[in-house]
Amino acid sequence: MLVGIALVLLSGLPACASQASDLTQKSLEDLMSIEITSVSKKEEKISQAAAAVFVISREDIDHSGALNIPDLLRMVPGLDVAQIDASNWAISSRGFNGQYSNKLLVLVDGRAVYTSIFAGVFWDSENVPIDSIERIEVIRGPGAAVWGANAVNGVINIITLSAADTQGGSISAGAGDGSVAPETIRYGAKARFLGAYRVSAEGFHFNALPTLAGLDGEDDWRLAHGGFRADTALSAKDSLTTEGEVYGGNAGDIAFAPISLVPPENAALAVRDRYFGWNLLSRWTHTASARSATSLQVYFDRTKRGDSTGVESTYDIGQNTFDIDFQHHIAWGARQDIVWGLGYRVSSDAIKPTFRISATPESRGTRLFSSFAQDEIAIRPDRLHLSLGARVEHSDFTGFNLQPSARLTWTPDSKNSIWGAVSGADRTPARSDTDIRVNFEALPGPGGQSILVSLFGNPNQKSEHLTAFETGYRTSFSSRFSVDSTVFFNRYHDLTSVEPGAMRIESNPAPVHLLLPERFGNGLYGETHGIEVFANWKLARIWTLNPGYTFFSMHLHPFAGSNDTGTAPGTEGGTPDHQAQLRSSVSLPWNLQWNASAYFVNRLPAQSIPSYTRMDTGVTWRLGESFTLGVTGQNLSKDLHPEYSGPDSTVQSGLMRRAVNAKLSWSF
Amino acid sequence: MSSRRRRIYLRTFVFLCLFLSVSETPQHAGAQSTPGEYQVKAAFLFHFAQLVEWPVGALNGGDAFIKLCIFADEPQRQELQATIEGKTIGTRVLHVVAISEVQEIPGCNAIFLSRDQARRQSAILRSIAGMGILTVGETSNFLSDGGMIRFHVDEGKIRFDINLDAAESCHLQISSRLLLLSTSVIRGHTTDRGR
Repeated sequence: MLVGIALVLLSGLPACASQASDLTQKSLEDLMSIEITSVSKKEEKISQAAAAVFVISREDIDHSGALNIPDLLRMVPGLDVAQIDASNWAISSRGFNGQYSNKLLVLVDGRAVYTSIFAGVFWDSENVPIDSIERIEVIRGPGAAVWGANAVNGVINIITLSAADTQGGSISAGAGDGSVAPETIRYGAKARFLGAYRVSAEGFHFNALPTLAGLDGEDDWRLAHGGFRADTALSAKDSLTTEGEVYGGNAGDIAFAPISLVPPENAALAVRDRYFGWNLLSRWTHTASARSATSLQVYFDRTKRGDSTGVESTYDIGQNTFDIDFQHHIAWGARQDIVWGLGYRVSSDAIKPTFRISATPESRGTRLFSSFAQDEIAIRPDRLHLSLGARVEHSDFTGFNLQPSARLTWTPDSKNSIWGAVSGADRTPARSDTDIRVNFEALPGPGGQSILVSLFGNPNQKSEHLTAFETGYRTSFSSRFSVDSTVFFNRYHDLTSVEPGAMRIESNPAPVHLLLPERFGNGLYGETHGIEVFANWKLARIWTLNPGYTFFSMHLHPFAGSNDTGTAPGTEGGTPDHQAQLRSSVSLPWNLQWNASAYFVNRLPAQSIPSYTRMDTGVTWRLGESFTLGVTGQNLSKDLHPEYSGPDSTVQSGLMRRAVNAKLSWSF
Repeated sequence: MSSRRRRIYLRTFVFLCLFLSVSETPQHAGAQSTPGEYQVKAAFLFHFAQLVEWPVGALNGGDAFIKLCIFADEPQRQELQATIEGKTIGTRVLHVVAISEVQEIPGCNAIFLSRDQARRQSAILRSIAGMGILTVGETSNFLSDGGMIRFHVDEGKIRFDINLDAAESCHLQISSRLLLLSTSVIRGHTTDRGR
């Protein structure tokens, strides 16, 4: 009997193996039409199918001469990138820009770097060395059905190079009149049981910028970063990626903050923001067949930051996050492509009370359960694709959220493609929306009593909700000229407002004083619409031009019962209505590459930021096989211009300086 | 006893049915399963060997075989070997050998350098310059390092570029059919965009 079973098993196995036909019998043309994209790779395609997507490739990064990720993101049409001071940026798409842009989700290799304390991204500490980035995918518009809550106005996916692509050693050193950056050392090799791995270390220092008043901003920025990544092939079908990083940095600032309730109440404090963090991620991918793949990802992230310098401190926060995520990608029949997944995230934070910022409760743990499914259906293969998806999340803050999406792509021929999408997305409240108290300002009041102006979180704060309508058209007039355009109309509900309260007497903190409270609410709604167009024009074999233009318009209104009069005009006037860019890339003989870009950004009326045109240029020269020299100039057209000065910013705004930087890389 | 045996048979049968149905589902789900990237690349290598003419006397195997040496890690190596080892090209048999050291190169007629060899790629290519060996690789700077044919993937489909200068300097003749199908050809230090 056992022999019988063995025979059945043995006869079954070769039957499976012989299914693969002899590929050498196929012609070259047939081979060239075989799609080899593995299912896991298809995920990128899904995100690109019917959405406004821009990808910054490794080549773009090499040629850009950018020193950090925000500088790199300027090239993305439709993204609004404004530098606040030496180490802080306001980055968003489709409006609502701010130092903590709370409607833009950012991920590094699948790890969310959007913080649920302040609802935003700490761009000063999220610094993946740009030499290790494979590509950055930027999706403008909602991506919540796949990526989860807070992917309301966009998603930025930073994807690092596989360890196999960074074998050998590399050292680069950079310096300029505005910075000593970046100093990087990287080494990759193979170990017997580990497979390919790399370790890297990076450090940089950016000089302080002048403040809007022309004084020294004292905001110089330093960061040290160490990282590793290993890509292990467990078997022909299983691979394991393990990566981690540790970083520490600091940046200066002059903070105007209330320090006491007896005169003098406010002070200009020369503080230093200090941050430290580490994280560890592991992802196991199992490719069962060419039509089915699963991945299981686990990560832990620790962030700590504050500006405690002994006596005075304005904030002190820490957060631990643990996340586990499972995804299954399966091709169903000949026409359906399904991805579904489950996730669980638990995070705990501690917000130590300072006179300026405190939270009730001081520390809090939150859990988030999520599940999503997306089905891409080829209604007519290669012509008409429909993608339906939805994500259901349950968080301790807001209960259940449903975020659906429907996308349709029509590709009448190989040169034209039209897509349309309707989707819903939520921005879930963060600790800073529900539990926080910020003492903004203390003023001398009547009878020697001080008046304290404070902003309070609202424990009943609801999610902000978006319904988005988008359509796009991509066309290539020839192999040399292609255009990508998107039009969108967004409707927002329950947007965050700041509601003034009645003045009252408060005795804690002592001494007794008058309190002028303000409180978060969901008192606003509104619409935005806009157009994003960009082109890729190969003028000659060696010369590529990329023009781009973005129009944006926003109208916000208070609900009946809301007394917020300041947020709507401040938000409307905080995003430029016109942005234009022109990038040029020329390959010269002798391994020289010359890139130049000009960015026009119209004025921000709410912040008295005048319009500006920023010009950056860079030359890279590959000297033989192992040396590369790059020289970059930034802000060449105008020295000292401001880019952002929003009321949400926690730091003093600076003036962007003309700067030249040189970088030499040696790989061995 | 016989009823117990029957139960065991039945259980085994049910188990086998389940096992087979589970393991077969993905294949049955579509018309045909997609081949792996390196299986397709192997088939390309087979065609390259057909469409390249080596200088007289370069094929040391004479009429017997063409020796393709591959520098690649598992599982790519296995996929390459399993797909084309022992196939015949005209009267010659394609012989696929996995090597890991430069010293093993003499005697090879063609070499394939996989992506994971990027670190020593330029050293390997330099060491065999002018030896009449067809070189195929896949990193972005393979051609600028002196390689002859480079694979790249465009929207999930395999494409290739040719460095004609490098091939001609080794007196290898690349058929016009291959040049026609390539995405770009480097010739006389300029690049012609093909398809």
